[in-house]
Amino acid sequence: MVVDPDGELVQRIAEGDAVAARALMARHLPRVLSLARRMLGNAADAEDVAQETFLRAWNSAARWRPGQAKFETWLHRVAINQCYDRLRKRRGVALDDIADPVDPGPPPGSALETSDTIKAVEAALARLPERQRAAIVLCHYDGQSNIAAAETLGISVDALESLLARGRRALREMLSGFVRGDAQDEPGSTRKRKAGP
Amino acid sequence: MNFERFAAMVEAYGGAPDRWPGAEREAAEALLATEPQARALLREALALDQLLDAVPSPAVSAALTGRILASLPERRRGLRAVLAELMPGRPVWQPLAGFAFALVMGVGVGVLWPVSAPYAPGADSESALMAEDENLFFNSGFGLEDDLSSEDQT
Repeated sequence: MVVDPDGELVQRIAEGDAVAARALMARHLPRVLSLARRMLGNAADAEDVAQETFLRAWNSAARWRPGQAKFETWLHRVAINQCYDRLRKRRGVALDDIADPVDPGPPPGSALETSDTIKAVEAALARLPERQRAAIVLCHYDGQSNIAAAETLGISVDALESLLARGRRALREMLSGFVRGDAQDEPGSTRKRKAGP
Repeated sequence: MNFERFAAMVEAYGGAPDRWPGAEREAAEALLATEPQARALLREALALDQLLDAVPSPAVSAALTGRILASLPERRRGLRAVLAELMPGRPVWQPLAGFAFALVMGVGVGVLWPVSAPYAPGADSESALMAEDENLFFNSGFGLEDDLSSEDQT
């Protein structure tokens, strides 16, 4: 039996409760939008995916049966699948091809460094195969545990680790001009995320 | 944990322990304390983490929130949903308890309050007034759910 923190909200949304809908959006919209933005690399498409994801949530609320899975997992899976669909429609370029290194841009310390770093990272993410990108978006950016991310993607934890490792290797190669290697030797020096299981 | 597993874990999850699988975190940190090679791997992983973290999260616009809320379909609205909208942020039992208290007090006062003879209406007209009050209460409160249900059915 899965304890679902969203269970009561979903039940109320099925009754047309706008307050519950607002609460669910406050809890999940920023993450769904962020996930879509990083998957698609485009703000307008990300908003469309977020809107469609919540429309499906409203329409599915009455049929939701609590206890089998978390609503959050279902919501993220809907968003990821929509991103996959849009990427496939866009595909004229073979996304699974090995990507070229990203132009390292200006040297570290220059005024343009931050914005160029952001652009480079976004470009590198966009060049990843979509399943590797999804794994990194869920684990690194969304802070999901390995078990939750694997469930969202419908794969095993081992398969998730493989996607993550290949994705990070590819990113390191593409961003080699930006990696300074002077990160602190202090575990946890990056932003804190949700703890894994 | 051996070095190979540590390397595989950091390769997948990066350098921040809070992203590592919980069951392996303690062992990995123990290895880090004794293994310089593990610390070197960690530095590399953290450097990539920091790059990835440079990309900010997008802000949720009010327009997007409004569009999504507008797409919430009208459904059969239960009493709970109606009360929750009337009194947002408060538990549903509070307005329900208020209604129940008012009902009990109203009936109690009506039954027990001494009425002097010269001002008392006749028995028939008193019953008629009480019946009107009950209709008003049910029409303005509990009747709402039925009204909305019948709208949905049309």
